Order: sequence, then C-alpha cells, then structure tokens
Amino acid sequence: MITLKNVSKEYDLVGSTVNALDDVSLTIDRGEYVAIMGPSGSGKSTLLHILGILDTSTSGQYLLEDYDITALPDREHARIRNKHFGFIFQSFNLFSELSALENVMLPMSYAGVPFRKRRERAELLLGDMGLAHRMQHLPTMMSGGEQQRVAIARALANDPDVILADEPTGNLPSDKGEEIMTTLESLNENGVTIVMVTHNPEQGRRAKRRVLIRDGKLEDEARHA
Amino acid sequence: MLSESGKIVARRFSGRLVESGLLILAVALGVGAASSGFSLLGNTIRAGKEMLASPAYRELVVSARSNADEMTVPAVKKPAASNVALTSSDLDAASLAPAVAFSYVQNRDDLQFINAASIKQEESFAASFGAPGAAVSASGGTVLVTGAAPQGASGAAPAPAGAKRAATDQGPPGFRRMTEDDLKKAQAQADLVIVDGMERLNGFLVTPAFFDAWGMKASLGSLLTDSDAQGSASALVLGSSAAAKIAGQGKSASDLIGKKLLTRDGNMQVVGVLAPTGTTSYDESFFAPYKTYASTGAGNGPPRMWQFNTQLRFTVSDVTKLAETEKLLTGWFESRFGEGQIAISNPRSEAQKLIDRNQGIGLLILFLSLSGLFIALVNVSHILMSRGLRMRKGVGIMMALGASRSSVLRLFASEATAVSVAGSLLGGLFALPISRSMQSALGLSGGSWLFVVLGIVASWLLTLAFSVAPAWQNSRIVPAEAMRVA
Repeated sequence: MITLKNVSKEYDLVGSTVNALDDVSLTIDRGEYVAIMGPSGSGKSTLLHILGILDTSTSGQYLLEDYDITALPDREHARIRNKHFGFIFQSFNLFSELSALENVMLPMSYAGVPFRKRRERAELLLGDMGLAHRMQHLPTMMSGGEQQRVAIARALANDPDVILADEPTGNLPSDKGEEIMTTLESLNENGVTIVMVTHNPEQGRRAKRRVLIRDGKLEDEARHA
Repeated sequence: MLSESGKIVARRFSGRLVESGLLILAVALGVGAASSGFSLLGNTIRAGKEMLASPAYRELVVSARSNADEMTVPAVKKPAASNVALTSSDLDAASLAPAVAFSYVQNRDDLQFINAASIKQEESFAASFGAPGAAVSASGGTVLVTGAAPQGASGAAPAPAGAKRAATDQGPPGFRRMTEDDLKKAQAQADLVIVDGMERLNGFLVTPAFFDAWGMKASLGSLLTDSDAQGSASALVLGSSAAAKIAGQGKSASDLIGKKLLTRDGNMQVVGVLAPTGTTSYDESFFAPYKTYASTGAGNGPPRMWQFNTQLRFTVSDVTKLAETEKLLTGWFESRFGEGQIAISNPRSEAQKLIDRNQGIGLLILFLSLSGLFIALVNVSHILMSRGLRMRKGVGIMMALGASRSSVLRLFASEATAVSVAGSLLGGLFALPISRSMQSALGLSGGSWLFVVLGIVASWLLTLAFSVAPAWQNSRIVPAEAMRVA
C-alpha cells in the first residue's frame, strides 16, 4: 500500500546539514499494525511525518497504491491526507475553540461533506468511543483519555485507510493508555492499517510488526503473527 | 453557516476582544484619515474645475479705479473719481479684442417691495420723525410713490428701473408716501402684484448679453432685450426660486408673467422667469435692464451716482486669451479715461491662486493621512502576522486533517477581510464628518460623498493587501514544522 524507496530527509541547520532520515526503504501493506521504535532523535517522527505527507523527503520516492505522490501539488497532498490518513498525536491536538463534536466534524468539512451528514457521522463516532454524553464539551472540560478518544474519532472521520499515531499514549496514565491501545487494536482488527510511533517496548510488542530506527536508518525489523 | 475551521478563527477573534477591537480601530483610524484626505483632494479638484468652468472666471471685470480700490486704498489717496463713470457704451471696447465673446454690464441692485408691512413701518417711522405726507429722502425710509402708487392715486409717472438713485437724489416734487388706502386701490388692480411677506429682493441690473454669456434661458416669458434698456418701461426677469417665492406656495410662477410688482422703484413688469441656473445667487435674484442716464429720459447730463458703480464684463471664448485681452482692454480704457482711472481685474487668476492653494493643502493632507494609514497598516499587518504565528500549530493540525494551503489562506484572508471591512466601515463613519469639516475649513461647499466612498474603497483595498500578505505568509508552512511548535 505504502512504499518508501531510498527516502532521505535532510535539515539545514546553521552551517551544517542533519540527516534525519538516511536512505530509508519501507513497505507497509494494507491491514498491517506497525510500530516504529527507536531512541529520541532517531527520526521516528520524521518518518511518520513523511508517511503522512506532513513533510516531504529530500530525496527518494513515495508510492501510495503504486502511485508516485512525491511530485503532486499541495492540493493533492491535502486531499490524500484528508481521505487516506488519520492522525493521532501524543498531545491530542484538539482545537480548544471547538466542541468534541465540532473537532470530529472538522476533517469532514475539508472533504466537502454536508453539515448534516458530518454531524451524524461525528455523533456516531463519538458514540462508538463512549463519548455520547460529552459531544458538546470543549476539550478543556475533558480528561486526557477522553480527549484522545475524541482525537481517534476525528482520525476516523473520513474512514481512512491508515491511522498514523505518534506516541498516542504518551500523555496518558497507564489505564487510559491501555484503553487507547485496545481501541487501536480493535480498529486494526476491522481492517484499518495502523502505524504507531512509540517508545514503549510493551506497546511495540503488541504490534504485528516492529521497525527499529536509529540515527535516521532502519536497523531492524521484526514481524509476528 | 460557518465551517468548523471558520468557527476556530471566529472564536479566537472574539476570544481576544481587546486585541481585535484595537485592530479594527487602527484600520478605522487609518481608513478614516486616508479617505478624508482623498475626499478633500478630490473635492478640491472638482470644486476648482467647477469654479473655473463658470462664465464668471472667463471674463475680465472693468470698473472705475475709485470704485475698485475703495476697500483697500485710503480715501485720501483715491484718484480723482471726478468724472470717470463707465456706461454700457464703453462695452464697445470689445470690438478691439477678438477673443471677447460677450460683453455686458452687471450691477448689483435690490428691489424694495411695498406691502402692508412696509406701509405700516413707514407710517410708524413718519410719526416719529416727520409730518405725514412729507417727502423725505429714501435713505430715511420714506416710500416715494412715483408710480409705486396705482395710477390715479398719485398721478405720478413710473420711474425707470436703474434711475432709482437719481430720482431719490433729486426728490422731484409731487412725491408722497403711499398710504393704506393707496394699497387697497392697488390690490384692486388685476395686473398688479403686491408681494407680501418679503421686504426686498436682491438682483442685478444687466444688459441683455448677460443672459447669453451665462447661457441662461427663460422657462417662462422672455429675457430682457435691447428695447427694454432703451425704453422707459420697467421690465423684470425673475430667477426661478425668486419667482416661486413671489408667486407664493401652491401657485405657479407663470401667473406672474405680464404682471407688475409694486416696488419703491415703481411698478416692475415681469416679462420672464429664468430656467433654474444651478447658481443659487442667480436663481434667487431679479434681473432688470441696465439703463444709462440718457436712456432714462432725464436727458444728457453729468454721470449720476449709480453709474460710478457700473462694472463692465468681457467674457472671452478662450481662457488662454485672457491676458492678451486684458492688455488690449487696458490700452483702450487708458486711452479713453487716462492712466490709472480704470481697474481691470481678472477673477480667473485670483481663483486659480485660491485653487492652487487649496489643492496644495489637499495634497499635503492626503500625504499625511496616507502616512497615517501606512503606519496603521504596518501595525495591523504585524498584529495579524503574530496572530497567525500563534495559530501556527493549529494550522499544521488543520493541514494534517486535510486543509490545503489555499483553504488556510482563505481562512486567514477571511479574517483579514472581516477586520478590514469592519475597520473601513467604522473609518467611513469617521471620514464623513472629518472630510466635511476639512472642506468647510477650505471654503468648499457641496462636496461629493462619492470621493469619501472612493477613498474608503481605495483605503480598504490597501488595508486588504496589508492584511492578506500575512495570511499568505502564514499559509506557506510545512505542516510537520508547524506542529513542532510547542
């Protein structure tokens, strides 16, 4: 489904160049549950950003469903992010000005879904997350676990092929983190591809495939059933 | 209905009410000042053009030096005003100047109406200062009824228009004050109009070419002719507003044609009413034929007082020929009256100086107000940029969720547009009284609001450019970099 070929990402710092990713090649198939692991600064988030087209590579090729999307214009990148990817962030990244319901409706507005339909879909997703009673609440009125569940509902709004999760439990207590992990596993069982960046070895072991990255290079890969 | 991203911007906007209010106020002050400056300059240029388009600024005014200088030169220094008096025959000077299209006389005058109020006032005055029936000077207020009284009442012959002062000076025998009985008899005459509720009417004594020079047409009756100036009849043309006022509310001015107005100067017959000229001072005036002393029937003799006030006007067809024509006329009048006896003024050159001064002031104020707008807009731009930076992470998240750069640009641009529209509307409220006040300070009246509106639109467009620039910059971000912001 997703193929990275010899992807590199360089950043220009004052007087020097930093290789955040160095000649990375990776293929992720539909329905996989991949954990990207590695120490801080190893390039995990950069890899996730490139996978989610939040950033562009300095060199290499990105194939989505065998289409090279590297050179597509910004508008197409935005459309692909909107339709094919759902993002879950460590700090939830909900908009504090919007209610839980409106936060979930937001990605659907970019897809041009009519107001009534996106409202119905958002209510359904929040209901599935056990947040039917919190729909009109602002994020600041909700716990971390609830906010992350709103973020998962938002990520699922446009029925994406891939969920990209960046340390989704990093800001949560362990019991709430466990709830989120269970939710992600449930989504994967329903056919959603999950790519998750994590520091947590336990969470990594729960993924079907682990990718280890160090100093911007893929070092190791492990799969289990 | 606002989209969810629109709600984010709107709620952030209302959440920072003081900052947002200051932002709008800054735009309002800048737009208000700039549009006022723009309006002032526009109206100054318009007023200048309108002023110079008037026939009054295509002409040279010739008058006796003593008369022309009397307001600025001490009385003892006046040249002997002795026998220098201009008459309509001096309009012949135009034959020497090919650029002159029209030449005419235009002297100010007024008509004093006789009505119940004026008779009552005169009787009261006479009771205090003189015996009833005594003929005293007109300046003393006595009504001299040489023809003002109806035929049969006094038996006196009508005095010619323009000969008023002569008659007054001479105080011919047989004059007596008009009484209420006379007025009653006058009211019985079908062709006589007693103008109630009006003490006097300002107007002009003119030669017929005056109407051609000003392009005036009669809407009713006819204009004055050469025969009106020659004969002893007292013809009168009324301006449109004056006619309406004299006819009275609900009555037609056409009823006045052929009727005579009872005045201190005699019965003045209305021969025509002018079509509206657009010049208030003419619409509210009367026009009587200018007559030389000879044409009054009083015979040839020395010039009388009203002739010293005679002003001759020479209208040129091409304003570039004004200076050349002035030289030709100066030569002609000096050869006739001697050097220094006649003053020729060029109103256009004076008007041009005034217009240049006003336009200079207008330009300066526009420059200062645009500087104010620029300073305001730089600040607005900075504030919008910093608002965008504060929202940088949010923009990154929006892009991660599927917002394109163009939709982010639209989002910020809509905020910028809202600020600029609100500021411009508020600025318009400032601009209206400010521009009116500045115009009145420069002596401009009847300014067009169109310039204020154009100024607001121009300032708004400038504001929009300054506001959209940060929006464009804020939309040119890489989502991953934006989301790294803490």
